[in-house]
Amino acid sequence: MKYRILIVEDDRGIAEAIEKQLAMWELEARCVWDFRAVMNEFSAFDPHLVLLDISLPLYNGYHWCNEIRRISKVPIIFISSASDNMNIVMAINMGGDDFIAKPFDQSVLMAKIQAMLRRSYDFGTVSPIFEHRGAILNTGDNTLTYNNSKIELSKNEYRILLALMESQGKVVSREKLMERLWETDSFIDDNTLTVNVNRLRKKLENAGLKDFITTKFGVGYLVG
Amino acid sequence: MEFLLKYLKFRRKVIFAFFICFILLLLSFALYHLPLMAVVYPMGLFCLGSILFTAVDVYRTLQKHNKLVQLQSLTAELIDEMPSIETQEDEDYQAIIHLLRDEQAQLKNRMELRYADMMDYYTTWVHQIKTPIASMRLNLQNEDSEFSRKVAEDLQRIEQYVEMVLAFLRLDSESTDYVIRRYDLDEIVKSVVRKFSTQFIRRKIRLQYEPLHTDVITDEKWLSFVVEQVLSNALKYTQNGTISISMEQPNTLCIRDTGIGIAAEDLPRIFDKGYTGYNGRSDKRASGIGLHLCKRICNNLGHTIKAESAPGSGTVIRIGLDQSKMELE
Repeated sequence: MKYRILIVEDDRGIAEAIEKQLAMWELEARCVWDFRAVMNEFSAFDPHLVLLDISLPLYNGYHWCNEIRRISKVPIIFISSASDNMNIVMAINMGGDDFIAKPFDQSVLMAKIQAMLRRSYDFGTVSPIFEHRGAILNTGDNTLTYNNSKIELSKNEYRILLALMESQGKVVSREKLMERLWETDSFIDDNTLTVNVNRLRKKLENAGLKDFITTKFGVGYLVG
Repeated sequence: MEFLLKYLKFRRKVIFAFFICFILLLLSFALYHLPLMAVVYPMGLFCLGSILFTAVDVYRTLQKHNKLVQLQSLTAELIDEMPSIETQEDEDYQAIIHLLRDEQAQLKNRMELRYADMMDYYTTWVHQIKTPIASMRLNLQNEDSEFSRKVAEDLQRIEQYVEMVLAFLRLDSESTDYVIRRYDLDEIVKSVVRKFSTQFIRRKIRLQYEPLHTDVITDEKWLSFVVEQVLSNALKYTQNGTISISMEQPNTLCIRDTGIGIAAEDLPRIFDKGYTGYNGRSDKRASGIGLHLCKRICNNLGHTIKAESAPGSGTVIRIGLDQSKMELE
């Protein structure tokens, strides 16, 4: 079963980028475009989580938060550029569960959504399934399952593999990989990345996954 | 004594007239050959009366003078109790003062309204501009090319300039909210570092980050702004090499780069408003405001900021995080 996420954000660029990212993580997303009928959309879609902008046409996010709170206890995450303390306090007082200031990183948003879903619902795993050659990356506990055995991955190794498996079949540049690691406070440089990738390769090879990661010289790495 | 001399000077016409009358009287009495006693006695009484009157007048004038001097030290709004009106001049002057006071109050009111309007607009503007920035950033994150990274870096710079506008407007404004409490310094610094990840990686500048393990009493947003400015400068003036972030005793955050450094003659003035120095002048983007804001923010937070540099080998910025001057409200 897929979690349903309702996106109430009037900027199309942002809404669509979030939608795309959510889809990648196996979450079902729907954007509201008729801002007079947010509640209809809410009832029809019955989401597990709502992403709510504060400044919206007609009524603001606080209003819709209030309306939603009348009928539901669904987790609500505010996303807004007005990140003054006043607004954050207001958002939480109105019944919001979390607040993300714009501009934000996708990884931060995803982490907060995942954490919120994990806390609010206990059925099934929230995690999407990233699979290649029968190896499944478990996003819950930083492991890779292959042939019924679990391969433990370090934090960096997991992040590298996640980035590669997220965009399977596409080459991921070294820069992109490094950026992904920087997002989780591993401020590594070029050489360290090479070391990390080599170590990961060795681990995979020992588990029987030879050449799981392909090197594209001068560009980056590829899974799939 | 000074007052007495001034008193005599201002009253010289009255005193002069008094002596003229006195002499005229003496003269006319002398011409009529009046008996000496008949003249001296009333004249003596007359003089005594005048001296008494003058003494009282000196005392009252001094009192009024003191009161007015006191009023001088007050701001216009606070002057509402004037000394009693005794002469036509008093009345006229007080009328003028009232007019000026009203005018000033109106002017101040209008300025405050305009300022509030401006603040409102700029705040709205900053929030407006953040939406397209957020949108661009999210979309860029789905891309993976040299081009997208270059654009992301520029976008980050735009974001930083926007933050600077906000900081410039809010610093020292009455509506500024400070949330002073204990923060984990690592969290603050790391979140700033993350913003610069694209730039570090693209330009292959190494970051040496030693975990700081320090709690500081500060305001998260303002301190983040300072660290962001300092780090941005370090990156701007470092072509290749390493930027290192570490703690020094006592309680000092140390950001060190291996960049071009700052000339000795520029060093004492880099925190001045509008001062760009040699580096800034050769780089046309420099506004000379970033570091100036940092200095003022640090002052407000009770922190200190100091620079040390050797041209050609790098710069160290030290942010002292002790709350020496801070009074907790």
